[in-house]
Amino acid sequence: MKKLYSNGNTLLFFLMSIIAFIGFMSCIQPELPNAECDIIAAFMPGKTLVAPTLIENFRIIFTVADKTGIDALAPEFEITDGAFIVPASGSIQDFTSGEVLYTVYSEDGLWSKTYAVQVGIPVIKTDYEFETYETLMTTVLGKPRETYQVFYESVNGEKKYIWASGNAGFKLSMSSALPDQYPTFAGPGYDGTTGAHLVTRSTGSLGAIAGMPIAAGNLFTGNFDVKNAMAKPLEATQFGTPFGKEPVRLTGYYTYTPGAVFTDKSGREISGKTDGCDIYAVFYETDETTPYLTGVDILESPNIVAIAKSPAPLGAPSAFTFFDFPFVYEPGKSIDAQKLAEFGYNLAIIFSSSKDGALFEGAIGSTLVIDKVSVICAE
Amino acid sequence: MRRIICVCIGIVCLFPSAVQAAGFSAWLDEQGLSLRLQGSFNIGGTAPIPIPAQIRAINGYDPGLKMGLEALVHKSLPHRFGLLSGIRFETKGMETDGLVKDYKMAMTADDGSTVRGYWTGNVVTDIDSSFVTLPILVTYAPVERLELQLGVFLSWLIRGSFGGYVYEGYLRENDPTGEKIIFTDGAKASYNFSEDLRRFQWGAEAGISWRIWGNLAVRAGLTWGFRSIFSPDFETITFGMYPVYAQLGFTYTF
Repeated sequence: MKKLYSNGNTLLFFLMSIIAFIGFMSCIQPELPNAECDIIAAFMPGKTLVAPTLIENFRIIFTVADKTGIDALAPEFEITDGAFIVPASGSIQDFTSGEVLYTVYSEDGLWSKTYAVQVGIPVIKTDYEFETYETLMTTVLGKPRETYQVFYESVNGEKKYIWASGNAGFKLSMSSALPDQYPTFAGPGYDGTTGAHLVTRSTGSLGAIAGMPIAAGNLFTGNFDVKNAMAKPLEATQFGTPFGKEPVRLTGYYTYTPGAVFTDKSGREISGKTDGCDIYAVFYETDETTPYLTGVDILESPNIVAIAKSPAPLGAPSAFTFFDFPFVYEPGKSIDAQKLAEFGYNLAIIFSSSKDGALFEGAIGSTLVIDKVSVICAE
Repeated sequence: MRRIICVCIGIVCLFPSAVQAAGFSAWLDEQGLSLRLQGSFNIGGTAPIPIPAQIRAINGYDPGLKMGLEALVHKSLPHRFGLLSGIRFETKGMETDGLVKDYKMAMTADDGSTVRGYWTGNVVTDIDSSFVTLPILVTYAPVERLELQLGVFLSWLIRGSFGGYVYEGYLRENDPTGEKIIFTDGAKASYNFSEDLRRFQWGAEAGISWRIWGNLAVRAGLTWGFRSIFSPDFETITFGMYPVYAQLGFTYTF
């Protein structure tokens, strides 16, 4: 008798589960209109682009070979479903002042986002002083607050954001950090000037949960795609910007202090191991399928033409020390002058305070300071 | 916590022998009182009511094995009415895997660092709470074997956990215009709001029992919480969550 009841209960139990499940499903309300207001893709008909179009959260950069005709361009945008954009996609705009502001309004009418759409030519600078930077702001509970710093290059009075870092990813785990608590920030540099400070940081509990216990200080020419910072961190670092010259040597000044305790991806100490920094540059060919190299293939891609790096592991000088690495061409690789003139090559200059930082291995506190970097080019 | 649980189980276990004590049942009869032992499964959910539009689909639901065990005293009143009360030790909970759109949430780590934003994607929620509950019900027996019950329950949370993780989706940092952070390829972020659970809950309870054999009855009931399970100063989840559970079990009357 008792057994019968328990069987009855089991059956009822499953029936009720199914009823509860159907009950939940039947309560699903109609979908709300979209709250997002993104530019998802951007196109520039009638103008040849020499680099992938950079679409950030508030900025879009088209890179063109020359500025002819930029007073009347009609960029087209793909936006979030149901949203609308002002001025309209495909309308003719004048980009001679550097940028045109486009605002996207969400389908639900509650949110809007203004994008600065820029049209620029590749930066052909070869000397980098790290004197100019700006501090990004955020709003926390209605109050503006400083977050991290971004180095930029000034070219003919225009700010060129060729330097990227993983700071935007670090901000996810440590939203309360001050500018100089980020892995990459501006600080005292060579000969009393400003330089780039790269420090390996702990990402706290949130970072540890995500399996990314540290963030190495990094600085590189290219773009950091924060969208992929969690899911595909190696692919988030998009190394390189178009470079229309033939690089010969990479020079600059650095100091380095390794952190005390080297840890692995799980945050466990690896005793006896000392952290090391990384300073190198990769010159590579771009094509349709490889618009840029990432943390996955930066030293392995068949597109690599030449690499400048230290022949021996870098030391830990406490005073500014000059470095000078020649670009060593890969066997059988040479530069096509025509392709070079059309910006068919990218140069990635890369610095890291922990050379295995991309694998989340390194020592918290490792500090690399970089200044007065030059790429010596062939005439 | 553990001590309270042991005491509850102890009371329930000693109940039958107490009833058997000489002279005691006679006294109970005189007073119109009867003692009951009741066990049931709790099957249901702790959910926002109505289900907000941010929840797009339920991919999976597991009621788990949540149970209640209670010792009750019934007092007969004129006109087939009665009063029923006692003490119940029970667990309520479930695990769901839902698909949400623009679901406001925060992930807080134990060092206080927080990521806030709007999540679009999958959310796994695991709720498991233990309560000591005082049911107070009016009973009505329209026919001999049938009893209808209606009243309130007061619950004290002994131990509660509310947590889970998000996967396959993306977070918009702070608001829908913020940075988009994609979670794919096994990337997960866990959350835990156990600290924000309310200690006291109350709601309505209804039941129907049918005496099937001797002193044994089967019973189906419903408990519907009227108070959100979260403290009023908890702002991460923008809607109240209410426990609604069906009870399925048996009652033995001494």
